[in-house]
Amino acid sequence: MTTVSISRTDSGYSLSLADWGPDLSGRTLGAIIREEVVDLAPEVLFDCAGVESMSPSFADEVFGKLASSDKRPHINVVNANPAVLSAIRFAVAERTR
Amino acid sequence: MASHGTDAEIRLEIPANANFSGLTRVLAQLKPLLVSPENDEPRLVVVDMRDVERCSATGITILAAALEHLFVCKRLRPGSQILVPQRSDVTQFLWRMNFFAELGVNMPSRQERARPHGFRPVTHVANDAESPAVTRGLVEAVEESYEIDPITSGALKSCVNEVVENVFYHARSPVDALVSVQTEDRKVELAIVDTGRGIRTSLLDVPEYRAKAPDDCSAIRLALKKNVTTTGDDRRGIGLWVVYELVRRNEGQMLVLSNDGGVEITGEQLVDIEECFWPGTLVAVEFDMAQPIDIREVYASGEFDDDSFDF
Repeated sequence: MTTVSISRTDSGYSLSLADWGPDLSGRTLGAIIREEVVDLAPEVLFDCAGVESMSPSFADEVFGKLASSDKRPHINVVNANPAVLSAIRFAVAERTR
Repeated sequence: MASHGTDAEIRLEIPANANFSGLTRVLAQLKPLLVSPENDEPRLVVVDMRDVERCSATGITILAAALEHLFVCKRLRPGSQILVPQRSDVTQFLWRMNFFAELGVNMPSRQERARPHGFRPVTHVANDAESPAVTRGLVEAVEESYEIDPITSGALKSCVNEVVENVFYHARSPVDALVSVQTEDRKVELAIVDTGRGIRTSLLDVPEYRAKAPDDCSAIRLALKKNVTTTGDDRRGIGLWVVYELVRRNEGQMLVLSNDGGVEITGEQLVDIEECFWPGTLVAVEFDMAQPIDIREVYASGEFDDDSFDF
């Protein structure tokens, strides 16, 4: 799947990362997803339900680079398993330190 | 294990135990052929496996990658051959591991067997988009032998995906990437192999790394460090470091070979391997399944008791 399905919510937009499969890896895919959401406002909710693993490169490409972007929406990550959440936290911390 | 033959012939005698260390020594004999310019005359290669009694998945992956590289790069003269093991169970194991199929030899129907338990055949990964599905299959093989939690499963997947991604970003490998997994006792062995340009050649694209990587061993050690990258983005260069940190914390083993150098990692210890050769990069990782494999420790994010985050 290379297109992004983004839903409108009361506070902005949301997308389900599991639409790309339970195991997320690769900067190519990460860049596609980031490009789709970087200009949305005011908030993007990433629902990680069903995501079993996320590689550090993917996490950096989506969340790390969003975190260091000057103009970006507020990002909410929900339903992430502990390992996925730690990958995202690490990616954001690396890009904003 | 000696090499003998005419100028036009290279004969490889594969040892009884075709494991990682035995094979890399034998394959060093192929170096003149593997590194020679493509317009050199192809050579007759005879791979004598008749004495082989035991093969590891990593060993088969290495041998398949080397021979496939020679084939793809047109380095083999017609008439080159593989002398199959005398032990039929070993030959059947090679069939089941896709060794012959990877070299373009079709499997006779009589050799078909049920999918092996606890390991997966040598698998070709043609691009990084294929990596998640292949990796999932490898980890399912591990799950056939061990009950593993989602944290361990995710860590194993991240390991393979990161190394495979490196192949497609940096290696320029003629055979793409070959991967395999094998479980034995309480160990899981993963191998990711390419026949690309190697770590040092890639690092030399960056002027600041030239002095830090005067040889292949030092280049491998450098590549294991965090944020070492040839992309120009100093926040990248995480993948191989994450794999190394997982192995170190698990007190497992990791072996990285790249061209004329190698580094063997056992827990906290890194030892250079000088007398080896691999035409590209080979990463073999062994985890101790009795020890935790927790990528959260590597990330050290600290708070694991919630499932949401915002920034």
